[in-house]
Amino acid sequence: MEKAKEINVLALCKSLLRKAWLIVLCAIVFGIGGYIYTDQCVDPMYQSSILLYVNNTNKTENSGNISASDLATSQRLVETYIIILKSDPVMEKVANNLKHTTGTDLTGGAIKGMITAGAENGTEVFRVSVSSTDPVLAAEVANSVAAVAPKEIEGVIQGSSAKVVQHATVAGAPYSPNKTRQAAIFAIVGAVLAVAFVLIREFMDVRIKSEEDLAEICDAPILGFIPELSQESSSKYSYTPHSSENEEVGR
Amino acid sequence: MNKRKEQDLTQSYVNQRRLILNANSSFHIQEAYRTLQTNIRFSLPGNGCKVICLTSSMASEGKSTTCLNLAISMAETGNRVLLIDADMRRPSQSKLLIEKASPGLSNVLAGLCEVRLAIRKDIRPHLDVMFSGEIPPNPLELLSSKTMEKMLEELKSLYDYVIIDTPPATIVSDACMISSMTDGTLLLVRQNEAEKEGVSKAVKQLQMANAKLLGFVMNGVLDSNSKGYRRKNKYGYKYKYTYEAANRGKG
Repeated sequence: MEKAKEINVLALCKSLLRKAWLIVLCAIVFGIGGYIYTDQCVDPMYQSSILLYVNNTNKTENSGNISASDLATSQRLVETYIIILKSDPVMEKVANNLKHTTGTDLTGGAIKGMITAGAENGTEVFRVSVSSTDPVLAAEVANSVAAVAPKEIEGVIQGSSAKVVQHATVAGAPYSPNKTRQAAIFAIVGAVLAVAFVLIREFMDVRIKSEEDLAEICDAPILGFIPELSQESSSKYSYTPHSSENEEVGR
Repeated sequence: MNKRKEQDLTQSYVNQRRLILNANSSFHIQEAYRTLQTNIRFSLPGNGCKVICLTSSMASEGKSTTCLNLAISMAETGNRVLLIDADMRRPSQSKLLIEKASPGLSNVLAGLCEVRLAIRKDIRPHLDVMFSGEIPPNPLELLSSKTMEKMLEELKSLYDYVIIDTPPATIVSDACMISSMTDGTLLLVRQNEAEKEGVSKAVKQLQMANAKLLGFVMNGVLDSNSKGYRRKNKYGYKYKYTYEAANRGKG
């Protein structure tokens, strides 16, 4: 007996359509659940950031045209500055500055965890962002970085000069989580689960549902189709000779 | 059997009795049986009496009701028909027709009763019925006896069609035994309930018993097209599958 089964994609699509209500329902339920979960259980994160610029006179002079390699070099340089910035000694100094200015006691490691940094728009100006559940703390840490980092970078890279382009302000609104986006993701997950459930059920359904199912088993013909009798209510569907327009032929 | 089960069973027979073909049955159903008749006739060409048995893969697929309705339908078209309830383990024709099961088939096969005494005449016009008789301890033995063969020979001279209601083929081997003595076997399949494996097994067993499988009868058909057909083109439906089934039968 053949074990390989032809997968009738059209039949699968039809069964998915039949159960479309389930898929939509699942998506909605998961979406709403996701929204509520995000709203209630996930702490909003606030972010404050500063912009720094480092002028490194060691690099080769520009000829006036900016080539791709120049841009790559700038990226590399920014990454270098960021690594210096996030190094332990610098972080320690930021922690000390923070304690000094605001009294908040955080370890260098903790501050490092709050910081993300990257080039701004592909230029040599880079942004250092600090995230925290406390918006005021985020701003304070960012400004401590602004106070400490330039000197440290200048200290490491001979002949450079670092400047703070923009100081940090307290964020008015959280940047994460994005409730709508989370809800959408949950909704999609719900829909995918529902689809998987429907498909698995369809595959596991071993009942005879149609002529084709019987034809798979044996090529004997189907000699009769007896309709589901209990669904007939005789008065509704019975044949009454005077009301029918169709002729009975061949009886 | 405990009381609850008995009540359920009684109720189910009450429900089944409503499904027996009668003057109030819808045209749709009557046509379905007439078409089944015609297809059976095409599958068994030649003159003389035809002995047909009906079985299924599981219990409760509607064998007894279908058998009875087929017999009634055949009798209505003027044939002399005998319906035999050969399910001696769980007799249902007597419950459907509200008649005493005894004397019946088991009595005849055990040599305790003459054939003509076991037949109830004219249960419907042109339709005689032989009920199952008392429940014997050895139904399979009785069915494989010489008495059974002789009885069928005798009945062939008296009727145009002998229709035999059998137990499910996969549960006991009574059906396979009977089918080897008949001119043709029909396998009843209930849409959306019969399982592919069960039907496949039943077909194999019938083939091993050298039965002539005329074809399938699909029961409980909830055809999504059927409503449309009923209102629009009744003739079209009948024409379509009569022709189709007859073609496939010749293959």
